[in-house]
Amino acid sequence: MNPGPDDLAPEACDALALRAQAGDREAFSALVVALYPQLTGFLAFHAPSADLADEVAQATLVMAFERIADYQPRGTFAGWLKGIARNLLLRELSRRAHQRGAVESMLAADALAAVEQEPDGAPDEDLLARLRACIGRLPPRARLIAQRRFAEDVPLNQLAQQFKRTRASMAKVIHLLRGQLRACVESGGTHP
Amino acid sequence: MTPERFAELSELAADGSLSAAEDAELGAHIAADPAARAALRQCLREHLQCRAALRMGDRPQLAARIGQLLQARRPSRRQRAARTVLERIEHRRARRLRVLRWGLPALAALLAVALLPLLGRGAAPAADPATPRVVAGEARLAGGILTRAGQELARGATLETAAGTCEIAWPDGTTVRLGAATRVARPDADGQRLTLERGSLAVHAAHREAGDPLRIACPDAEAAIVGTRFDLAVAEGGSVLQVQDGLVRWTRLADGVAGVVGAGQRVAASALPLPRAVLLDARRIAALRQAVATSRAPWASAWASLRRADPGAEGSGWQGALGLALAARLEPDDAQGGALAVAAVQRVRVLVAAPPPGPSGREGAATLIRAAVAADLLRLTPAWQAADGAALDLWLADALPGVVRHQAAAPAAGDRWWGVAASLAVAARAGDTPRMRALFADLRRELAVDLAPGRRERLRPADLVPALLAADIMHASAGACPPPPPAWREVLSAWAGSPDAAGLPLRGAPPWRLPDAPAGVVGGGGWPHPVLTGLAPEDP
Repeated sequence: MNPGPDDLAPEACDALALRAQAGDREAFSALVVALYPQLTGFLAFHAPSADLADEVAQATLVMAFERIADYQPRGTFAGWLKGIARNLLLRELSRRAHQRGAVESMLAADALAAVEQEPDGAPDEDLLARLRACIGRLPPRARLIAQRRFAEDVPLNQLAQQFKRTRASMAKVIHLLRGQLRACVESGGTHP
Repeated sequence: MTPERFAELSELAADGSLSAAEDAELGAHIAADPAARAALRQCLREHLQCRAALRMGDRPQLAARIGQLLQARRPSRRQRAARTVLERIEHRRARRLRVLRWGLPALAALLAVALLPLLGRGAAPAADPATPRVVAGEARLAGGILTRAGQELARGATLETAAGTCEIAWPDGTTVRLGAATRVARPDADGQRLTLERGSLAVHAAHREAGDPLRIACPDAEAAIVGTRFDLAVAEGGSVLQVQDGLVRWTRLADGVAGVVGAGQRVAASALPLPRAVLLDARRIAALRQAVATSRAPWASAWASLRRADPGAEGSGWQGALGLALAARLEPDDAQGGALAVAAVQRVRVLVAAPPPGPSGREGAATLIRAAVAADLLRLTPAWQAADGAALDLWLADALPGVVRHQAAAPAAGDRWWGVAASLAVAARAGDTPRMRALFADLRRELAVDLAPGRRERLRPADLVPALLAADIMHASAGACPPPPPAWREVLSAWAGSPDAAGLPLRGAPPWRLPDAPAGVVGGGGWPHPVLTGLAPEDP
């Protein structure tokens, strides 16, 4: 995970990690809050579904808390946290690759191969910040759809009802919206 | 696959709500086309990234959530000490096992007695909300340690009953009662989770957020529950779920095939996937029960009418059987619901043994629809047998041709549409979606012609009822329903306020129904089935 603009420097991370190792839970919380965007960015890049990303993010925090004593402060806390997330993700992906429905199994198998082949693969360091800025620049109705769909997890059927559209046409709207956001992010966040 | 369909299925995949058929459709497409597979991956990745981007901003909220998580995770000093001692005991026990096998039970029991007070008092009320405690009865932990009330069931622990029962509870009020000869394990994972290895459980799940279900895994299936009561049993033949209240998502682990099981239904994992409902699926029944329980109009008054009408009275035919079946599924009392289901099944057996209806107007078609819906409501109740389904299918096969021939020749459009609706109900019962689509397309074409200015004047509001029923059956059974012809809404709105439309179930979800029709349209003290089966109670 690469540090983002608001993230702590490696030395500051280590200072907090040392306090967390001594039992300071606020220090651990501050550490995790600072690194959480990187963690979710990593999981959003690799996990094939929202429930898996959420589950692994939470399990990562719990495991990091339980094993904080194992961390050796050498300026690599972000990498250590990512290592936990990657291992948990691999474990869960290999389980899902064999146990779920057709689509989820295939996606889990693809994600498993990608994580194994490219263990450090991650999005650009400020991709999420650019994406957030691009969503903020959308027209009001499109921004509302993005808010409902992505921030509030409103399912497609319900969203279609809320915006008085058919499910298929709502799906198309979201598809176009994502295309717009992709173009915006690729342009460095300068349009739409 | 068209790009539109691909976009739709991709979004459903992002929701995690693909049906078995949709999963198979999208799965086949991406298996055959690597570009589509990559496109789906990109779609899901972008979905997650947008999600992460919009959630990264609120750091105080995140800090509070992490604080709660850590609070829940933090073992007390007393618990840590007890755990350390238990680990030592386990270590010593393993070492001594080699030389002193016969002496262990007494030693373990002695040490357990010494440790239990520590375990029991260790956690204050603010302890991990995902940790259950023993609240009644008796069971043994994996090491043979006898439990007692107040003891926590730690992560990774197993609990086993002998001849008696044992009840465990979470701080949120969720309770699980272990039957005799039952073994459950609490996996080393977050959230309220249990694994039922053998025996049976009766679960009363407190309501919680949809994203945080109670999960109970069986050897061949998993139940995910938001808030409900149900029984779960694992026997040699596989796992069986029986739901008393609410909804349970029941997933077979071998292939991920899932179904939503509702109140009054009993489903073996091997029976998944569930056939689609003819008219009222488990979610709709759950919403109806909720509407009745919260005294929402007009469902509560319709329910009261249904109970007053004594649908079980002799001579009430299929209308009575449907009333009994509906009451069985809506009855909040388990015992009463079960008795009603038995009575309804008996009534169906009597009716199926009688000759099918002759070709007699709208009533003949309505009878077939009532029979298909009643059987569907009873299909997963414990009282219904496979032979009942087979007998009903034969009866429907005898009855349908005459009814349809008569209706097709009827001069009034409304009569003809009743015939189509009956055919549609029978096709829905058979799961014949292509036939349903063809029938519905014909109906829609006829409607478009008859709703044109100059012709619509010949129609009466009641003529629209079979079209509404047909649309409901398409929604419930085919999973989707084509939109109505453009003039439909105009005609429906014009009639909504008229005295002729009183008692018609016009109000409900768009586009076939009117979301804002006056309440009087569905009022009245008439037969309550149209209200209970025709109006969508999902929205508050």
